[in-house]
Amino acid sequence: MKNSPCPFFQYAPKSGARTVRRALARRGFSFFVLLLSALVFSFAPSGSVFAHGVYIFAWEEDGRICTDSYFNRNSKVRGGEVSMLDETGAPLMSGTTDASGRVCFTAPDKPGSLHFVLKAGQGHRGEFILPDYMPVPKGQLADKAELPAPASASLSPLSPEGAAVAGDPLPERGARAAPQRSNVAAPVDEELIRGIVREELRRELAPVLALAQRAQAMQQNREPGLRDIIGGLGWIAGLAGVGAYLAARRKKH
Amino acid sequence: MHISEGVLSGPVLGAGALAALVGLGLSLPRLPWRHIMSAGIFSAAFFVASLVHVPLGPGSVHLIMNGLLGAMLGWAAFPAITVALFLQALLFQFGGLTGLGVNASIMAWPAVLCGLLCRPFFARPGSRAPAAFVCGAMSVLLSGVLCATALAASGDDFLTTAWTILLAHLPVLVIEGILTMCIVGYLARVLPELVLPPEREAAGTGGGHVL
Repeated sequence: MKNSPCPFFQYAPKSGARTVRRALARRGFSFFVLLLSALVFSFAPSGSVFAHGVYIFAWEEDGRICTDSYFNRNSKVRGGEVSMLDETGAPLMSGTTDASGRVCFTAPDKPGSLHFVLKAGQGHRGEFILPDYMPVPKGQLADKAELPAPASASLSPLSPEGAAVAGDPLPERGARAAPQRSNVAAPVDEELIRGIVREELRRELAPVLALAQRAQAMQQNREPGLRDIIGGLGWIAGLAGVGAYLAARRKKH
Repeated sequence: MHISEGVLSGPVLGAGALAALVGLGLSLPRLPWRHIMSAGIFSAAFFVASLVHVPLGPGSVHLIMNGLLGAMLGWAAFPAITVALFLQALLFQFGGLTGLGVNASIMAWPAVLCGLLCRPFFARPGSRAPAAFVCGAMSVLLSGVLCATALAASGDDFLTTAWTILLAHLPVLVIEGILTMCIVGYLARVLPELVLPPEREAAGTGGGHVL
């Protein structure tokens, strides 16, 4: 038996069940740790399984302030209470989220940061700050409605004059009419152009603005990532190590 | 089951912190030096478990695993859970630091109580599996009751909150019971020193269990 070519036969009678159990235990333990790390890594890339926190995000949309509330990307908060507060913390408005986690408020007229507080039940609470909110100037939203009016107003002096020019061949009158027309039309046109440019810029920049706001939301509502998880596990291992070290020192003395 | 910052009233936060301090004060002297590393490992398991979502029903709930810690660690579950919750608050903003005491009390006290109640039954293989299941499920149930109590003390209606929490965590309760049963059963086979009650362990092969 001692000279058996198979090493297992040499050890089997001596060690017996205890060695087997020990080996299994050692395996079992590393298996357990392996299982734990497998759990971390298998869930890590999909992202959607993370986060128990609740998040809220707010943006401007067509003169309103809209909010989106979610537990994670795939799970929206339904029936959550959202309150909009001003810089001093005074409540402005509140509402309840719909099935898609959204609730919209009419935009306040005062500039300043807006705070949003979400209560999603069972002790879930989220916050978001929309910094430096600038209300749309009063006239601007009405610009669209007013647009045709100045246009027709600028046209109306033109057409009778045009008719007059056509109907009345007097050069004197045409010469007089030309400077008069520029005098009247210039201030109206300037306001009109400002309005149109503002309107167009607002429309064109809306996606860029939304992108910037979304980036801001990502910064404020940071869902836990792989780095946080690995970091946390490292912290726990380190703390346990410190504890074991201190305990071992105490035992030695 | 993590209660966010700014939800609870001051007295509730204070009471939770006090309960957590009492728990830590009672459990730390009872933590044998050779269980420190295993407490760390189960603390890590608890830390990760909260990230595993169970997409059931309208919302999504996550695993808690405090019952497993109670079953495996007994009193040592208290510091293990507190450390994991502290890191979750710090790194994930789950719960938040002001609510740490309340959250630790909500999750750790049921774990310790269920663990102390169920651990003696692990010695006999026949009663091990049911005891482990009860330990895993009961801890979640008791945590839910404590969570509802804390919210009720801060102004919520107790019965409504309790029912919402219970319904949301019913699947978690069952899953955790089964998981605790499987893990305890497995570890009892491969690492009996870790699972069996201290008196059996002390009378065992000597040398004890060093991880």
